[in-house]
Amino acid sequence: MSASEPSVPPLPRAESADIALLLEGTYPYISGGVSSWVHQIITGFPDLRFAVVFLGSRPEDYGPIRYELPPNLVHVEAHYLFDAAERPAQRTLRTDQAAFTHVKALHRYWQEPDNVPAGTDPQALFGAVVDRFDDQLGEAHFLRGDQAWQHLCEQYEERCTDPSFVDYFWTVRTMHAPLWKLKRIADKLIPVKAFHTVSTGYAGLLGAMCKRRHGRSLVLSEHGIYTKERKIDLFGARWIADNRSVLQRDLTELSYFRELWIRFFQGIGRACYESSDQIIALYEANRRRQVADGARGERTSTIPNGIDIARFSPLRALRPDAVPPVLCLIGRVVPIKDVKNFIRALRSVINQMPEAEGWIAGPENEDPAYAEECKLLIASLGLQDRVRFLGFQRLTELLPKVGLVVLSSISEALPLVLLEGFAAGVPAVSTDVGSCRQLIEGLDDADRAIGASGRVVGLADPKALADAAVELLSDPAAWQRASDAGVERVHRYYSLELMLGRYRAVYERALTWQASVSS
Amino acid sequence: MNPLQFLLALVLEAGAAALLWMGERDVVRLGAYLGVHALACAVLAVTLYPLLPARLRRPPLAVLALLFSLAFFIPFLGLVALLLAVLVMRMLPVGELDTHFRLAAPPEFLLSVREPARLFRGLSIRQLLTDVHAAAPLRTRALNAIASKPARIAGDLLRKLLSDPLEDLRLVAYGLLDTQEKALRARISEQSARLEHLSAEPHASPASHAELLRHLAELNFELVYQSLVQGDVRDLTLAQAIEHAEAAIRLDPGDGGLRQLLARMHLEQGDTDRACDDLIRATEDGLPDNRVLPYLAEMAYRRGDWASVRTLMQRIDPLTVTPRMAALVRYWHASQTAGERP
Repeated sequence: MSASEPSVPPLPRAESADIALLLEGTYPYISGGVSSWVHQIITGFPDLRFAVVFLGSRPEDYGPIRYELPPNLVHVEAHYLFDAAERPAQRTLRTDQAAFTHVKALHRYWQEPDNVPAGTDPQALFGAVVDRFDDQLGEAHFLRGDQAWQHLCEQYEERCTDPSFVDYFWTVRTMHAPLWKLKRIADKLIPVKAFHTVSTGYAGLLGAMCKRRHGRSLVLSEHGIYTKERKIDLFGARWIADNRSVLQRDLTELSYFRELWIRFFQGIGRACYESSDQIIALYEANRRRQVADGARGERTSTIPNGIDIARFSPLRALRPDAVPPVLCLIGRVVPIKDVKNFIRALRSVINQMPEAEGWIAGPENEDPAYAEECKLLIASLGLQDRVRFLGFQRLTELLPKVGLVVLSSISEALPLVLLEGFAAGVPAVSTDVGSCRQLIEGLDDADRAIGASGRVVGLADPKALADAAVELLSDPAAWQRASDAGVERVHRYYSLELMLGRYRAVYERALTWQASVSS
Repeated sequence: MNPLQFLLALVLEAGAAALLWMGERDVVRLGAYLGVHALACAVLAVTLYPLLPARLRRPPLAVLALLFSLAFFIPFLGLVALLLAVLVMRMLPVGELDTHFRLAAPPEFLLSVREPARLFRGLSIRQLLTDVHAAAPLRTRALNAIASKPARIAGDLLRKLLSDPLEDLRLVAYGLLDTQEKALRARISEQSARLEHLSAEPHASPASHAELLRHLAELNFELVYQSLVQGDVRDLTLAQAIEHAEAAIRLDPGDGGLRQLLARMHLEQGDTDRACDDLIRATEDGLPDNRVLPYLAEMAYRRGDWASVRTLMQRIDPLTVTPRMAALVRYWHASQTAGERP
């Protein structure tokens, strides 16, 4: 984690830049894995001038800038998609029927992408709609247009399984509201040579619009899979209505509005995949997922994260002789990290090793209700004296005091904290999510030959987590073997230099793509 | 009723009768009689008309004609009968005939367009969910179908899915389990706060104290019963449930229901001896046999003591227990060979 103390400088502005990073809800206003990665990328290419377009929900949801902005970050603009905005006049508009047929065709394609007439060009469909966002298919036409109303009514009758038209109407409205704002952002963006988005979703859609508008290459690097994460969120969301009666309800089907939201994010994700020239995943499973979601296989590749080993290597000399009986979870206190699983495991660990302690190092303010739940769980398990919430910590100070880095998450991509721990000589116990098994046990034969740099356990299985932790902490020889394997693995496969080298090639292709088009 | 009008009708009728009976009986006199009689009937009809309830006054001409006809064609008797009818109607209570209910059309019976049998190609949901080679969309639908089931029923299946290769299923299963545990934990912390508040009050009644302790015992036990906690956390939760239940019993020693709950907790702990003691004390505290015997039978079953199971089950009246339990009771009633495992 390389965030500095919060500071409030004016946002830098420039006339032009080399790469525009399109970021949704991350850098520079939120600290965390993806933000640290973005910071690494910007500082790793001092010869390139970066612009950042931050997309947030509402201004009040974010605090001050969390990072010291590097000098080559020359331009930052922040936009809020669900901010209260002015609405066009309340009168019905006549929309050009021919123009609206493009909207219908695009909807049909997103509804059934595998079942479209031969010869359909998704890029052309998307372009035909987005290019008209300023006039024939402007926001006013969506809100008050006769064609939009007619299409909405037809779609409701044809497809909606929920009886409430009112809820259908407002769901469609809320869903589409940010699209025109994104188009305006794309139109007004300063000239850049390439776009780089770090997720699909709204930022990815902005990338697709920018590429269409400015004719520059688009690179997509996904840490998690945005569409999948949204799907999980929506599955559990309580704000989505379901008005079906007992007789109308099919138990095996989600409520229609839930499905509509999921399909919306799948649709805009597809638009981003289809527009991206290079699509990068952190590891193979995610790359395959991208292909399944609409990315063209030949455009995809994997580049794992890397860390600045030189920053962490000296910490190994600072470690005490005996392994400290301290299990440390490093990460934000949010449900996806399943901090409660860690706390439950601590109960078992302390039953077996009464001197053990659990530390939770990470901000608690992102989901205060969840942090409160964790504290209640600690109290109910009688662990008040054994578990400490440390808040945000400098890893260079924290890691020498820690015996094990624990990751109890239910979803991860390629967590940097494991690599940082390895570089500092701290083995890890992690749940089997994302690429954690690859990081701990190795990917190919050569990697596996290094040995395990910790243990991998099942999801939400506190007993297994505790047993693995106790096994390592109570056996200094096993701990040392895991520590050595971690150091070796991170040096060989996950250095920042390796990652930056691969990204340099990506950026060079993106910049030459532009050159070949303009020539 | 206007008495003068009625008197006038009577006088006219009497006059008409006098015309008929006194003097010559010829056509002229008959004509005169009919004329006066008709006049009397008309006065009577007009007199009675306002006395009728509103709903009987329409249409006015027809009603007047009816009154007139009744009086005219049944001389004298008609007049008396009409008078009596009106008097009776005024004296008896008014029945509510004008109801607010309307006959509604029967609702349309809506059926899902799909046939449920085809949904999972004849596979059970359990089979489908645990089959990692089945198509992902089909498995997702199967997961949707069990999402609304309590953890007691779906918990083990959801837990199996936590190690599923398909991440979406894994995450959804986790979310479902977590939501149920979260809801119970929230209630536990709310009740704990109330207990703390109550303990600080010097004048709190032991009854409300016992009630809170009981509630906390039930909630903690629910976490165990629904299999939402595992391993050491399960042991700890169960220990807390027992601690609260025992504290509640100390404050309210005569609560048979609580004793039975305590017995179930000891049973979950595997301590059948204490569970047995608790159940016997629960019966002494007045808990009906039907709520104690099934647990005693379960303990005998765990020991493999089939004869005792039968004896205990035969003491239960199948008509007084739940249908599921009743089926078990009937099974043991029917079982003939003693000392053999069924």
